[in-house]
Order: sequence, then structure tokens, then C-alpha cells
Amino acid sequence: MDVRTPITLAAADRPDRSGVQGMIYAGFGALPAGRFVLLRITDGPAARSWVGRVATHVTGAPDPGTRSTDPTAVQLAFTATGLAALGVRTEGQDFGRPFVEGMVTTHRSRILGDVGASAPTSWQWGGPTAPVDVLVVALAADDSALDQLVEGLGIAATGSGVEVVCAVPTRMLPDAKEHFGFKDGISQPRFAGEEGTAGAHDTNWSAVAPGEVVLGAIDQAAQRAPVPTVSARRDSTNALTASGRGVVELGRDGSYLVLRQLHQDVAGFRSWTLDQSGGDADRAAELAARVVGRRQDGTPLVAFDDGAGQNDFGFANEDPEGLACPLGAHVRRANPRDGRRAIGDETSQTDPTSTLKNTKRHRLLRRGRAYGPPLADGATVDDGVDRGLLFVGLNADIERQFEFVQHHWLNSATFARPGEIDPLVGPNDDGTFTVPGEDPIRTRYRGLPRFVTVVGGAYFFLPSRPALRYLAALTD
Amino acid sequence: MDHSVFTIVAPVIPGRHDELVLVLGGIGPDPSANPTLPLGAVPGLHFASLTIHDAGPGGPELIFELNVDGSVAEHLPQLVKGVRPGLDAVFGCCTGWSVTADDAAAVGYLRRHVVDAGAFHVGNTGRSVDRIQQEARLWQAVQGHLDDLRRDDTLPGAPSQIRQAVVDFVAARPDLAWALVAPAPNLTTKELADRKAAKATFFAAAIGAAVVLLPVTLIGAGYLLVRECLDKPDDRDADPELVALLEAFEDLDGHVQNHLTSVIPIKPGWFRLNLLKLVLRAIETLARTDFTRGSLGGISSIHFAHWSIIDDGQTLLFVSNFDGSWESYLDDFIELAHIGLTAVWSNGVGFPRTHFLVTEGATHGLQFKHWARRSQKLTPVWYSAYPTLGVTGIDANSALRRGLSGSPQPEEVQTWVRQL
Repeated sequence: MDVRTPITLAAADRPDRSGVQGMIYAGFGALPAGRFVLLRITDGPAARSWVGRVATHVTGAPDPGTRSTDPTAVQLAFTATGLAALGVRTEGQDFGRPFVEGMVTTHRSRILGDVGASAPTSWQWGGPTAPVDVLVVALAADDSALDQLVEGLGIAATGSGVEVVCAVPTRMLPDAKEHFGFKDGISQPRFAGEEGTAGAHDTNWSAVAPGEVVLGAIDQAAQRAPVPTVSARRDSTNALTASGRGVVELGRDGSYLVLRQLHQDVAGFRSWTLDQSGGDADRAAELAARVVGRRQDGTPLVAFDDGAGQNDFGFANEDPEGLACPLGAHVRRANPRDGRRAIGDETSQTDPTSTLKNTKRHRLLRRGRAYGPPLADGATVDDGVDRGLLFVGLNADIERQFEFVQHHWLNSATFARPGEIDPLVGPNDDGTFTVPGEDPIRTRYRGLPRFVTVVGGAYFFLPSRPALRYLAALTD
Repeated sequence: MDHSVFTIVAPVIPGRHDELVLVLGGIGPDPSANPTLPLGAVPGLHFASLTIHDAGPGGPELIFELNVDGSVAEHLPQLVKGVRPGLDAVFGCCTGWSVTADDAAAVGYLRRHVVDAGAFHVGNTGRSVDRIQQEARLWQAVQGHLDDLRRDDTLPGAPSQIRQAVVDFVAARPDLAWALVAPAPNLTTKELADRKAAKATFFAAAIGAAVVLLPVTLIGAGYLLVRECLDKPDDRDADPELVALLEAFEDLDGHVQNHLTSVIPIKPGWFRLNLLKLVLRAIETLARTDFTRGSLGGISSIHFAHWSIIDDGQTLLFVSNFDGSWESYLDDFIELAHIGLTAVWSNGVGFPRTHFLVTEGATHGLQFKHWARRSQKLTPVWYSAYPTLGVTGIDANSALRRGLSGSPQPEEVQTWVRQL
């Protein structure tokens, strides 16, 4: 199938590359040492000055077609309570409702699967007992450079107006893997219509209009997600774009950042796959691959084009019944590409091109990092050490993208096989996972436990660099 | 087997509104087995809801949505027989109901207040409540048996042998043996042929009239374009408190389904009302012929949904019982079915800017979602006979059952076995 037509966008319809924070365009893979620092604002005016000081360190995007060469990187994002503490009052267009309400509401917890062991009441941060206002992402080449970088941000300095709620050291595991042992972050949306950003070959699967991630740019529906605005009178920097009627665009070139701290039970994952395979390591690896939907090195389970970073493949024609990659496998739920199909569904979504187009309305740009040391090779008993993933998803509409994928694809009991949810990240409690097959029939795995537990989370806004200057210059 | 999809709309007695709210509030938490109106006791009932529409032309109205097996005439006596005391409690708050009247009179009252669907969609055509529930139990039992065979290493290798093993298992279970009898087709060949003939007649008549009365058609089209330019889209955001209230009743534990009730004032005037009736008629015709296999224009998550015109042509009512979240349902609408949707709802006040009846409209996704939320009414009572089953899952259960009878070809057996 060919949907590789490049789209051209006028400058006004694209993100302003000089204004965005760098993570919109860069994963900073050359900076393996990291720390995600979650802060509470204790003094609004003081915190504004602190934001102004940190803003000068905030890293921008690399030039088109190049990788970031910054020796360190700093990114800054705020929750709704954080923006309020700094004195932000929207006028005209408000922020999106999920951001305003925050990740923790009764309904959101239901649809996100934040129940039982993942309930916000037991979170380390972001829950009712430990709310957060600010996220600082600090990245460096090694630990000592990182210490120096974080020290220089003056978080702990007297009169900074902020205090640390939680600081999570992150790392990059060898071969870009996550703790379960699988290569992560292979499938990413790439902005169509921009030089040097869309991969040469896998454009058809990955190209999305930049407005799916960056506010103010054109999205897949040829529209713009609402850009939050503030009164022009309070913009002493004149840094923000006017939007008519006395308001300026605070949100332009920003993005909503979803942060979730996901504890991974690596020993549990290994021992369950081994148990189900009668202790046979090869069969366990095969089962683990079916659960994930890729092999450990990232190889897709369906036929794919070798030249394009393990990402040039669809499901509709290659594997409509899930005989290679199960319909309920994690990557197939998280990104069903051109083949969204539940068992029993004979009529819907038969046109792969339109399915792919619909799927692209729900993509997320992921910038997560692992935390905690890897579990010893082959160990199947938990060592009691906390490890997992700090999931970072960037999107323009939290409801249509992050929450939709989480609720309607990953956690949906009607998406693939009735009664089953995502076998890898779903809140399973005695769950079921079916591997379709002809040997001679499907294999049903019962008693599926929960491998991933949410231990923290919040919705942030990642402002543009001009918007950071606006925040710093606010007065009451 | 056919379904009937309708509402009963009755005016609330002035001064009894608050009492009715309390009655519905008592039913809502356990609609299946509450002591007042145990809807689970009503035979042939798939989905039902009870909503108060506060802004009826003569004051508040009760809207009782029913999606049932068989005809309205067959169903209403069963309803009255099953839950008469509950109907007394509810309709006792409505004008003209008599708690002392006999059951025949009660049926007559309901009958007089029935509003037929202007256009409806059914996800699982031709299947009764009993059959849907039975086939779900069959699926569970067969899956469990297959797991047992595999565990005991007695699973045969050839597809035909596997099928025989399943047939033998079912035959040995008195509670499942019904499944070996071939089910009636979801839609008989004659039914489909009749419907297709009706569709051909309708569209031939519509196109014929449009051509014969070309000047009238052109004037009508021109008038529509002018009206569309003058119409004022209501692009306010939905009240966050309303949305939070609605969400409190959505995505409930143990449900894969949700419900929505939407009440929209129709744009005033003869022209819009009749245009709307024509559009609903066209959609109804298509729904009975082209969308009988689970999907409505690519959306395969709708169990029962219908539009109807109430309040003497002033109000457009939409009720839907669907799988998944509100957000995903609306996204499906916007991405897959925006043309039909816009053709209907652009006749409602405040709908996003539309041209030529079908373009733009719902494609203004976010604006449309806010409009849809603003039009929504809280549904205090919502009943589903099978809250854990999705439309596609019900189809999968039926496919399993169909494969147990008859003498299928080897390749059919192979497909059936693969989909177990």
C-alpha cells in the first residue's frame, strides 16, 4: 500500500523550530544519564524568577536533518496547578479539559486503568497525597555532568520558590531496550512536511501532520488543536503571537506531556512466560514476543521491509487474523496501523488506507526513559529493587490521543479478543491472553497477572521557549 | 426475528417532577433487579433507558427508550405483565396514567405514547436476547473444553476432528444441546429482498421527484445554502461540570458498553423539519439493507441506536447503546460516519457550520464534541441485558454456534477452527 505522498505545509502551519523545546524533535540519545525532577511551587513570584533562570538553560531543537549535539539538555513542563501558582490566567481559549482537571479524577482513573494496585492513592507522586506542579527533565552524558547540571539549576537554593517532591534518576539500557528486554521506541510518528524529519522510507507508516503533537500547527484533519491564549496586556515580553482581540497564544509551539511512572515486574514477567512454557526458555521467549508483538531486538513478527528500521509493515494484508502477531499483542493494540480488527468483526475497517488514516489521529510521540537497574540476567525472583519506565507521551489532544489509546485500544475488552486487555501493560488480575494459531487451534493463556503498575503520573504542558519567558516575566 | 426500537414519551404531571427524579434515582443503581422496576424481569428486552427531558413544549417529559425482540404490539403486554408495579411508580408521575386501570388499559396508554424510531441501527441483526446470552455461555463452555483437551493432550490434529470433538461435547451437555440446531438466518433472503426493493423504490421516487420538480429542487437547494450561511453555529465549550456529571455514569466497572441520550431543538420552520424527515428516511432505508452485518458505515460498536422526532416536530432525539467510551464513539462518528451524521444533526440548532447538508459539520471534530456534550442529557436509568458483551464478540459467538450444525465444506471448517 502506498500512502507516501509527502504533504507540504506553509511556515505558519508548521511548528516554529526555533521556539519549541528540544524534545519535540530530539530524543537526546547521546545523553544517557537523566533525572526527572518533580517539584511543588511554594512561592509563586519566587518560582517565576527561578523559571526565568532555568529557561536560559532550556534546550531547543537541533537543526533540520541533524542530531542534537548539546552536551546537556534541560526541559521544563508544568501541570495546571503549576501554571496557576505562577499566576497564569487564560483568556479566550483555555487549556484542554484533561490538562485542567489533571490525570487523577474518578473517571480518568477508570478509563486509564489506574485501579487496584495502580490506584493514585498509592502513587509516589502525582496522586492526592503528593501533587506536583513542575517537571524538570535534566539529561547529561554521565552522572557527574548530570549532578553538575542539576546543581546549576538552583532548585534547592534558598528562595527558589520550589521544592522537590520526587527525583527519579533515569538511564538508557543497552541497545535501547526497556526492562522486560525489548527494544523500545521503534515506532514513532514523524512530522510530515518538514525537511529532514520524515524518514526516507517508512514515511507511510510514521508520517503525521505536526499538529498532532505541536499546538498551533496543522493536524491530520487539516485543523489546529485549540491553542490556549492569555491577555496581551499581561505579556510584558511581547514574545507571544497575537491571536486577535487582545489575546496572545501561550500554547503555540507547546505540547501536552503525559508522564507516567510505570513499575515493571520483570521477575514476574519472566517467571510467568517460563511457567506457561513448561520451563522451556526458547518457548518462553517466543511467548514473550507474542505478548509484546516484536522480538527482543525489535524485529516485527509480520513480514516487513528490512531497510526501514524495523518499521515498514502493516497488519491488514500481512496478518489479518493475527496468526503471526496476535490481535491483542501490545504493539498491535498501541499502534494498530492499517489493520484494526476484533475477532468476529467481519465488516468494519476493511479499507487499510482509511484505517491507517484513522490510526494516525491517535499517535503519540514517545520520549520515555528507563529507571532503576536491570534485573540480573535470567533471574526469575524479584530483587526488591524498583525499576520500570518513565513513560513520556507528547500529544496535542490528551483525550483523542493518550486517553483514547489507553482506554479504547490497550485496556479495551472489545478491541481484539472478547474479555481480554493488553497482556503486557494492562491492569490484569487473572487475565487471559490468546495467541491465534493453527497448531491446530489458538492457545489461551490464563491466569495472566499484572506486569506493570502505575506508581506516579500527571498531565503537564511543555511550553515553547518564548512562553517560558512569558511565564518568568508575569506579575500579579 | 425482528427488533423493535422505540421510545415512550409521556408528559410529567406538574408538581410530580421531583418525585419522578427520586423514583428513577432508586432504580438507577441496579436497573436489572431493583425492587421497583426490575428490568431484568422483562422478556425480550435488550437495552432500555429512562430520562427526563426538562424542556418539553408542555413542560418536563419522561423518555422511556426500549430496544426489544418482536413487535411493539407483542412487547408492551409482556412489559406490563412483567413490571406493572414499577410502571405505576414511574408513569404514575405522568399525565393520564391510572394505577387502578387494568393491564389492557395500561398497554393502551403506553401504545398511545409510543414514538417510533425515525431511523435506527442494530449491531447484531436478527438475534434475540435469549440467543445472545445463550451463545455467550456456549462460547465460554466450548473455550473451556478446548483448554481442557489441550491440557490433557487429547486435542485432535485435523480441523474436522476438532469440530467433531466440539460437536460431541455440546451434544453431551443438555444445557447446550440447542446449539446443534441451525439458527435462523439473521436476515432471511426474502426479508432482504423486500427491503432492497423498498430501498430501490424510495431512492427512485426521491431522485425522480427531485428531477421532475427540478425548479423546486433548485430553489430548495438554494434556500438551504442561504439558510446554512445564516445559521449560527454554537461553538461554546461544554460546561465542564456537565461533562463531569455525565462521565460519572460512563465506563462503569463490569460494562464494556455505554449509553447516551441527546436532545436537540430542530431548526425552526417547515423546511428543516421536512428535510430532516427525508434524511432520516434515507438513513433508515440504508440501515435496513446495507448495514445489517454489524457495522454502520465502518462503525462496528453500536448495539442499538436511533433517531426520532418528538415534541410535535420541535425536538430531535438520539439514543445509543454502544461499546467503548464516549470519546471513541464520537471519534468513530467524526472519522467514519460524518456525512450521514452531519446530514441529520445539521438540522439541529447550533450544529457546527455545514455546507450542502453533508460537508464540514461533524468534521469540525472538537467543536462537534462540545456540541454533542451540550446536547446530552443525564440518563438516570440505563439497562443492558448483556453488559459485558461487545457487538463483535456477539458476532463471534454466533459464528461459533453456526459452525456446529450443517455439513460445512473443509475450508469452512478450517476457518471456523482457526477462529475458535
